Amino acid sequence: MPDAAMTEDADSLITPAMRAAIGREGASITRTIEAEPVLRLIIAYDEDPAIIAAVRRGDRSVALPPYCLSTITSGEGQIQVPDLPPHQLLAADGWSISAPIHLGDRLTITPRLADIQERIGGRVGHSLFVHNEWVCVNADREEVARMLRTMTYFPQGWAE
Amino acid sequence: MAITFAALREGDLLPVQERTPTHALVLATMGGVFGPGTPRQFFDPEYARGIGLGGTIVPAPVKWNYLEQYLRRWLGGGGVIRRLQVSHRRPNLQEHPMILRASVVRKYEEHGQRLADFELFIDTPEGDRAVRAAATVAFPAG
Repeated sequence: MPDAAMTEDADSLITPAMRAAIGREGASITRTIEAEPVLRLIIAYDEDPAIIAAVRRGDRSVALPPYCLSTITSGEGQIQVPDLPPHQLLAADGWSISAPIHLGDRLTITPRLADIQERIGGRVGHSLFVHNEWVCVNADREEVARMLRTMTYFPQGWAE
Repeated sequence: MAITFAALREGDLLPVQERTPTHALVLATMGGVFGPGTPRQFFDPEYARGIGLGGTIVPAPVKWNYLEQYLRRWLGGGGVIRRLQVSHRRPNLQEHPMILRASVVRKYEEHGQRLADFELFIDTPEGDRAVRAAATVAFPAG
């Protein structure tokens, strides 16, 4: 979360079109958590051998490390926001986890533009913080996880 | 050994851990392929140096994954991570050590749940702060 003053004045970078986009949802996608990409990931991260063995034998009861959600989404379908300044940086990202995930889970992922905030000052000067989220629900429409990503957009490059 | 809510103390420090993200690990994290949309600073050393980065850098998901694993392993099954939010301050280079640290910020009960907030960091070997993160862990009822 930005820690400097937020503004909403005549010099605001937030245009009416941007404001109208806040809360907009994108098209949902449905994906299944598959063994092969999960196995590749947990081996690379030197995960607990018991978890690796369970994934090798296709055990659908073992709780997978939450980062295995990245095998089904990496933030596709981010809502396009009009009028954004040209330069961007990743400011923050994260997950809220409501329930464990397993091999074979079929999750529906819906992108949403959660909010846009404005900041004056800081590392990149006058900038916008665009908060995107991806909500993952299971076949019973229960929320399993929520991925959050905040991008900073600013008119001037660092060195300009 | 599983960490219990009762044993947790605000201000407790987790053991410092060093992890070195290899290029192979970065590739695995990116789905096993650097596709057309992959930023070049993750796989093209010359490009990365050309934009002043000193080499290929570690993508954000790798840092999140490392921090999640670091905290989860320390919990030893005693609690479940409900939220992990990561704020990126400066890049880390691939094949260079990352220093992981964490501490217990607050333990409390809310809506009948036993919760603890953690602050986590990733520092560069030079001591610069690359990542600041916050996590909430839920513990079973006693």
